Amino acid sequence: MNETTSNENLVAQSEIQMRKGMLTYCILLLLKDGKVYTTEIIRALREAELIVVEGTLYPLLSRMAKDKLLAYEWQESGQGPPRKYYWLTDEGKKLQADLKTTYHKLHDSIKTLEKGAEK
Amino acid sequence: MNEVTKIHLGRQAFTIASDAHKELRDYLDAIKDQVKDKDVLEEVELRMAELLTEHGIVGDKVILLKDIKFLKSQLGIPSDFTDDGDSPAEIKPADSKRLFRDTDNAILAGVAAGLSKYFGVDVLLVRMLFVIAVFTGGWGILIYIALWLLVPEAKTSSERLQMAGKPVTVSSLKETVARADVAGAAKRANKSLAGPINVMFKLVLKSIGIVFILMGLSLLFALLAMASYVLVYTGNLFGQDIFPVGIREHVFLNLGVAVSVLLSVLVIIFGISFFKQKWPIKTWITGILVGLILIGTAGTIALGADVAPQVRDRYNAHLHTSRRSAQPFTTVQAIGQDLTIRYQSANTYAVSFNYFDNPNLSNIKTIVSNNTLLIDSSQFNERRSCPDLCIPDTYNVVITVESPSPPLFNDGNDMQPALPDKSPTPTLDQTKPILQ
Repeated sequence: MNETTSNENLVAQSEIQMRKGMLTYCILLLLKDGKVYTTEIIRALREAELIVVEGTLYPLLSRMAKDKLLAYEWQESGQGPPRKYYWLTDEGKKLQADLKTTYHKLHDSIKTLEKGAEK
Repeated sequence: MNEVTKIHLGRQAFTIASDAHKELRDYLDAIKDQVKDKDVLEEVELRMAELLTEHGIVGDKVILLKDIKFLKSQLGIPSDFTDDGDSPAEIKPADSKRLFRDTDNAILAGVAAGLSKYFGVDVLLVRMLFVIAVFTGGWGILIYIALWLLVPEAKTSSERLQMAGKPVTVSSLKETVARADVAGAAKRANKSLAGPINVMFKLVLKSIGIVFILMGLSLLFALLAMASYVLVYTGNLFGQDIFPVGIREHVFLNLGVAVSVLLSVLVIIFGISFFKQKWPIKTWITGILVGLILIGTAGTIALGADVAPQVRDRYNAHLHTSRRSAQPFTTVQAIGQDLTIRYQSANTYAVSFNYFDNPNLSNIKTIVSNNTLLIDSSQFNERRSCPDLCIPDTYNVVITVESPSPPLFNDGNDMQPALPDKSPTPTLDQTKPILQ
């Protein structure tokens, strides 16, 4: 029983780590086609089951903006509070392309390893 | 029903119930501790407003506690807002429980309260044990003072959490801080079972404090009286040239008085500390005081050991013995002063006197008639007359009755008969073997 618990813990921990590693790339992907405001980013990530709570996202977006990967502006909305729209800067676009390669390489490596393990 | 407040959240006006308002404020404060960026905070607040609107809080609908719960479930716990990315808020294991003095719930120094937190028992039990320990030999006081000195006080919120064995996290810290705000009010409103007993404990401590203060003051006055006497009578305490004689003995006496004065001051301070439930003077002053007392005591003891034999010799030089032979008697009767009468086995009948200084012994009559030795000291003045105060102020007369066999003691006065306490030296056949 104890073993199962620790096993589940390990899975959960690895999953969190993997998702966190991926999250930057995922945000870059979401913003690839233009301006998106925060709530939409959250909705998309949640639908993709990449985040559970939103808390983690705000600091990440803020850091990416500070690193000049994202640009943002506030826009008044017809009803409700103003919205913060994000889009990719040139640096962001470059990083998104780089990470795409990185991700696919990683994906291939894992596929190869998995196949090797099955044999 | 709950009171409501108007608030602004993410540039929007809301009506919120007071309990929900408190919860929301705590939550935002906890997030503020994690997020230093104002822009991010504003975004979070905007998002909260948006979530609430989506959740059906429109118009003048009141935000309730359950809505805040919903916000939390969407946004996550404050530690989720950390920027480090990789590590979620570090959680110290709960077994890192440490012993602290709990001064928030203290009566004296928080030792008992801290111990109760550490062992997870009621503080009353610990206090009872201390009281029992104080009245069984007094070692409870020693243990208490030792713990007072050795165990640190829980000063910060995280130390208070460690004291209670709770993990130190952002949310638990927030909780402690929030509780500390109401701690003062809770103390004042302490009407529970522990309330009257705590009051009783405080009263007991205050009474002990008063006893100590009075003890110290009377010691101080006694010393003052003695010192002024020595000053007035140029320092001859015994009326004879016995003590103090010479510089060394005067130094010994003065040092002894000085140490006693410091000691009585310490006793008074101790009493005040019990009364005020706080050590009233600075630590370094305490250190100097205790240091002076220790050094002074050591000096006094060393000088005393040097001086004592000389004083004893001088005292012994004033001791005399005289002896009167008497007719045979079988009974001894004493009337008059309360003098010590002993019996000693001898071959002849006699009465011997041991005394200090020069009493007029002719006023003690010893007459034998009808086989009865009458010792009449009613004319005798047992008080010495000295120019100053005399210590001892009597001649310390000891009468020893000598006869071949122990006589019967017959007391003329109402006083205790002085029983023969010097039995004849036992002969060999009378001694019992120690081992069978």
